[in-house]
Amino acid sequence: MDNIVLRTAKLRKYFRSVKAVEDVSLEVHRGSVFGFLGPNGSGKTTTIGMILSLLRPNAGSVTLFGESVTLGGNFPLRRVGSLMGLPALVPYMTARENLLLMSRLYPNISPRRVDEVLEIVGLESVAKRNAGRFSSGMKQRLGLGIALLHQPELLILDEPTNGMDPAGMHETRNLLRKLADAGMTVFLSSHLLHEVEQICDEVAILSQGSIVAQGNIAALLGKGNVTVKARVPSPEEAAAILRAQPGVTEAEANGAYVLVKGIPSEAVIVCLVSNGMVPNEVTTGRPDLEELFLGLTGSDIS
Amino acid sequence: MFWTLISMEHGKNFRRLTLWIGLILISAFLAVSFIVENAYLADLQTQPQVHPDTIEEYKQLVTLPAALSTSLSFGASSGVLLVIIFVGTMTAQEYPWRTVNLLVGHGAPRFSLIAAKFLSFLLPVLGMVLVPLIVGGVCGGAATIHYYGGIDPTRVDFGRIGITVIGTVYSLLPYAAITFFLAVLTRSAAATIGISLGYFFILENLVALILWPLGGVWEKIGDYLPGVMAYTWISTLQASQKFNFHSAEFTSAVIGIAVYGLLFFLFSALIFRAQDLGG
Repeated sequence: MDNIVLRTAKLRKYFRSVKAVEDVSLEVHRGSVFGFLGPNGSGKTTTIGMILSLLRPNAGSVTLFGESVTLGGNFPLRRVGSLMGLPALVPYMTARENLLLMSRLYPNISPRRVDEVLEIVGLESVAKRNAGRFSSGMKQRLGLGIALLHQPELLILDEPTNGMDPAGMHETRNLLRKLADAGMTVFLSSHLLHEVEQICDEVAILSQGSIVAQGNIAALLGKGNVTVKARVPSPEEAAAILRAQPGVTEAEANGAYVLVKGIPSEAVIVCLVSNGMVPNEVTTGRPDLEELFLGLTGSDIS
Repeated sequence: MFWTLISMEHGKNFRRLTLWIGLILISAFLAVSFIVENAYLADLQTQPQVHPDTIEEYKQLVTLPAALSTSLSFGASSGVLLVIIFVGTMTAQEYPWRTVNLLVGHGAPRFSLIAAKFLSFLLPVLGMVLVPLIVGGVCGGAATIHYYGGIDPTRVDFGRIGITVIGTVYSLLPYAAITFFLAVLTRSAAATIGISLGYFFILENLVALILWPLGGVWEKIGDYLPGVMAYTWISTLQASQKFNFHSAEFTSAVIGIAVYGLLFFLFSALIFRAQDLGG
């Protein structure tokens, strides 16, 4: 069995003359939780739209479970569950009726499974309420329930915790991790970097329609510059001395500290001591996903 | 998959309050009109100067079988309005609700989905014709019992009624198809209903009135406009004593209505197959 459940190859989408997505190629491995990140307008939703055969690519291809997905041939999507942006619901039907309606699309989904899903997403007490009267968080839960109903092999989620309260977000994160541990592949687009960092194995970062980084999170963060933080009596003077050192890419004073990138902590200590400054405290830190993201996209996630 | 999608569309159609409100309104309107007519007849009967033949003629109109014909005519007229509103809202609103995205994104083939959606309107449209017929039957039956002491089933040509019901449903096909096409094209319920009503109730009549006096091919074009053709056909069907299935007018109307239905459905399908459904 091919280990790649989702593969896109040089996907391209233009809206008139506006480039929305340019040469997006990514691979999602079976059983992984894949994070898809990017600032607003970077092309995430457009990419997901092409994967779900809602948008026609101008170039490139989408392959799901080894089969090509096109506007006219989207059968592989039967193995996919998705929640894209605002959930799609029939507002004049109850939560239970919405799920029962969707269950007709798949064989062997019993009313018991519908009740099970309502419990999973925490809507069992409002199952008989019309979906149009739900709050945005409740609609999001119902949308997630619809995506999970047929126990898909691949779950594609675009901002699944939108509108949810912190408890709901926490439950959703736990649910996604549980599903991934049980073998489901999850493709998650989210603004919440700490959430992605907590649950994703791999990420792709999109900026202005193109992928700027892709791979295992630990490996990507490992490539980032370690920051050495030293507490010194004269941070400004220390920063000026360190900037002149070969290999130093950045040195700046920050309160009582000097922050240095480009050389290891031992080299920082040797340099400072040889210039008559003995640091009181030296620590090292690796960048987190937010720093990596900001460094690559140059923009605020919000 | 296709039959599954039809089943799902039926589930949505019959759960929609718009349909039931429409059916209740036309039933109420028809029932009230029967009540008013009977009240008028009761008043006529108290007036000595009114000839008994006139009263008898009026009784014939409000009792069976004429009451059934009246109801079917009403069903055909009110059906046009109800079809435009129902087909327009049920199709166009799927776009802002993104329920069409949901089904496509879960592997429903686009052509099967659009075909299922279109064909699923058949049962509600049948309801729009049958409900007035049933109301007319009940009101006419009650009046018949009141005036004549009982109902004589041999006076009702059930075969003709059946054919007229089918014919009435068929005559609504161009309205449904064009409204469906506009809904897929514009993705807006307001635009769809507005354009459909404006076209069928105003624009097409104006165009026909301009074309008919010109004669020749222009007159023929006027005759073959979709709403004009449907209306002419159903009027002929309801008015004629015997059906002439071999007449040119009947044949061309049957073919013409089918062509309009199929053509506008195919236009809708072509548009939908290529439509960007967005995020």
